[in-house]
Amino acid sequence: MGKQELIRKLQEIVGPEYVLFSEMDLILYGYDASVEKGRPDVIVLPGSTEEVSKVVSLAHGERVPVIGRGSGTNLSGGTVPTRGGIVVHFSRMNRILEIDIPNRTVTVEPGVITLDLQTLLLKQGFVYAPDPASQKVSTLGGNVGENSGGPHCLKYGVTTNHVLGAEVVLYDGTVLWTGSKSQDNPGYDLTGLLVGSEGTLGMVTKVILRIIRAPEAVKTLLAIYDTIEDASNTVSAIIAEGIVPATLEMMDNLVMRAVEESVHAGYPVDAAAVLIIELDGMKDGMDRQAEKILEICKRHNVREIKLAKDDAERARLWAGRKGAFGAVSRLRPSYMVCDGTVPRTKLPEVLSKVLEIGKKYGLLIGNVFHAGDGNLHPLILFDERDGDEFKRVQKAASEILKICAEAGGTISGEHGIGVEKLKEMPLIFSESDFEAMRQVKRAFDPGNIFNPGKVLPEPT
Amino acid sequence: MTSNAHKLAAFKEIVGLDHVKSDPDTISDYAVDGMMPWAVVFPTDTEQVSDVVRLAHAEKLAVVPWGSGSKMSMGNAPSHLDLVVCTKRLNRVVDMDTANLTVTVQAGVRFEDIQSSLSLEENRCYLPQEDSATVPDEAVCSDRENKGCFIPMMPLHSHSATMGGIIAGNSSGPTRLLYGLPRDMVLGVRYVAANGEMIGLGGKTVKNVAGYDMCKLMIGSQGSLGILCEMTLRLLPLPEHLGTCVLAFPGLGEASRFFNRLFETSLLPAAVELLNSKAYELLAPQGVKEGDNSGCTVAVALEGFEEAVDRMTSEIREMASASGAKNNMYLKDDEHRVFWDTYCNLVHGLSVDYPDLVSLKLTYPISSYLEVMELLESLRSDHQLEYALLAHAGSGITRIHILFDPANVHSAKRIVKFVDRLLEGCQRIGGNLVVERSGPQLKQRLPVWGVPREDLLVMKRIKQHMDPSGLFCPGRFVGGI
Repeated sequence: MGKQELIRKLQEIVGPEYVLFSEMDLILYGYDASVEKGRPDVIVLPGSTEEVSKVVSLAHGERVPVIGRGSGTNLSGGTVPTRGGIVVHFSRMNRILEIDIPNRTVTVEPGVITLDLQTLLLKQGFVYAPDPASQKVSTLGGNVGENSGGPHCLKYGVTTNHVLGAEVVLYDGTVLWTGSKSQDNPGYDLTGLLVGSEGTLGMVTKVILRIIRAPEAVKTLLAIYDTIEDASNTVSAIIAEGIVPATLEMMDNLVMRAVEESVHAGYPVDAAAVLIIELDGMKDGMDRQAEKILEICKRHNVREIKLAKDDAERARLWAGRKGAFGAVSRLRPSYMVCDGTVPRTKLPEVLSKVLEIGKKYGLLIGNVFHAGDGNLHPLILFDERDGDEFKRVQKAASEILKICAEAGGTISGEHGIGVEKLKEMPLIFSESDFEAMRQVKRAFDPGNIFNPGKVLPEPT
Repeated sequence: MTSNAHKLAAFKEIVGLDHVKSDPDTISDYAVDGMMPWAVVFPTDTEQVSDVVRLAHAEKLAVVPWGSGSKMSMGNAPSHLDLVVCTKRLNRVVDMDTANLTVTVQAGVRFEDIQSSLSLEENRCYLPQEDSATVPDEAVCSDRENKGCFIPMMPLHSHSATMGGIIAGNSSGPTRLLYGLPRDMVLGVRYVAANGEMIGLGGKTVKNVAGYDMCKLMIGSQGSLGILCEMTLRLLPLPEHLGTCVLAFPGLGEASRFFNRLFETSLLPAAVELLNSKAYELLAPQGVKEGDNSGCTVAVALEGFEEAVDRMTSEIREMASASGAKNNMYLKDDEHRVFWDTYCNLVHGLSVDYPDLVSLKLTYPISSYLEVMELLESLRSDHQLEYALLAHAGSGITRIHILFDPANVHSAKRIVKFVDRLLEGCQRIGGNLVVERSGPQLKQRLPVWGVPREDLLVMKRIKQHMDPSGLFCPGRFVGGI
């Protein structure tokens, strides 16, 4: 089937106004928030599961790739159509279908913006716990595809710990549900396999999410340090002390200065690093826990500790943290963020190696990350139009992932493998490990039409 | 195809002479639903498991993994059985990193043993960095009072279960309400696949999205996709304070009023269990006094800061009383420990008097529990059965242990009818049921895995791709996988 015929058939399925193929569209939907670039053949915006099913069925018949897309905030090229194909854009499937408080679930379409769901739930005194920094823009479908994290994952777990079931379109257009509102469904945890599969196993068209009652009390602390070592030692000490706060985030000077310029969150632009420590839960015992944390911070030469005095102040602190990636674009036009995660006790040592790598390649690296779960985010700042600098950046990123793997960690804590980290996958997996994962891929998608060329390297 | 004697010799080469058994006594100890293997092997590490499976694969044998055997009655009878691979010699703690709040154990490590070691573990040390130039040399250690930590699970059969069995069986207990399920705790697994390859996925980090989440696939897969050899789990520091409120209600109406009140608050109990009289009879501390066993007892486990536990205890007592509770009791220290210990090992206790106990696990949306309770009661009385009932009130799970007396010719028939009608009822509510335990003869007449859902289609494909020759547990799992 030629491209024109494909377009015509897609127009029949979703309606002509929802099939895009102009030069501008092909460029716009050929990139995401990573540095990868691609070019789709066509973009469709389906309005229902049946339409998605028909599109996939057609793609299967024609052996054309299909790539799901939410808001395109993917950081590893997961939404970039590197082999052409049909981009299936979920912006029209953005309804919150049901909020079921007695069963502690919500059912949504993939195009719902994460923060929109959280805002609505909060009004009823409930919370969908995972809070990726991109939540203002990213969609739940994207979160499910990547198994997104966020600051509160330290205490509450990542996206997969809050997904109970999914309606999924399989390679031949078959639609079925995995999981359900009731727990412990006998059989394999297919829902668990789908979450984090980066759109390579099937296309999720509905999700059942778990919600919890909003915590009674929250305390948000900003701990200000004059050296990075003191800040990261505090993190190790807090965990070693047996305290598991709701969040334990770290930001360094470079990032803080960029954030202050754009968001004015109240960060001290002359400090080396800050920690954002949040406690939540029942109010009883919280003061005592906060005292312990203060004491640990003091033991590590903290300059000052601020306690957010109201919701507005708390919101500003978080807006700063969550706006960090966007803010650094003031300093240089491009960034490469590494997503290496290490056991938290290795954090201080790995962090200092990251700084050395920056010096070695003459690159500006900012650090803002989930210190409490060992998930680093060195932000390498550069200009991608400078070919030589770009090469140094790629070398530096690779080296950073290597030291994370060597420290007993992983190459991606939350941003996914996509295309970006394919070459580093052999740092942590053997050929047999890949073969086991390929078996899963073949079981779901024998024709390799779902987001081909992502996650798993080609067999050697 | 070589002879059995030849194969036995080959297995002995791999694991050692003393660790391959084919004598009738041992064989019958490792029977699966009355089916005997012709050999049982006891490998001691992942490499040996790998070599054993490679050989089994080449010889087209049917293999069933075995931990301590506490859950072997789950699932259908195997369609074939040649070899049982017992993990009891895979009993090392590979890495205990309490400062990182993770532990890695081999599959044969018993839950009780690792939990006890973790509670005593004093290593809460880390190496502070002075600056990027110096290498840290001295560790700093916490002087926190209760230094221990724990795996936040309360699995059933806690006295005997191995970590491999717990993970392969997706075992959980009352405290799932607060702490979650095995899928929320397992960070990495190492297993041997059907072709003998050693597969390692995940690791020591609490976040990991590299590749597919194969850990989720292995959890609850009941040995049908591979033999789990090692697993890494996340830990939590031991709670400061532990206690249990035991509340006696006149009936389900009052208990249910209490649940509604409790789940409206911001309190965070660790477990909320509903027990019928038979269950309470077995659990009651100091026996049950006359008039105490109302048939509707609620046990609420509390764990956390002292202030929080105190506040929860007092608010729970108030709510219970306002809902019509007849009396309440508070258990702490040993009484608390013994209560939950007995709870987790109830089946073992019951099976002494009732060796042919039939255990069912019902699953349903949380808010449908009243319908489920009513359905159960009406079917129970219709079919004149007696059972111990334990329900996880906030999770939508109920277990019943039917006191089956095979000498009574008619009771088997009644149980079959009861289970069929119960399954029908559960389905209507959007739930399911699973037979967790039953003698092999009766089990053949029961819907062991309830009603399969539409995603069985994909499960079959996964099994087909990962174990094409049907080496592992053939026929045991959902849909006869």
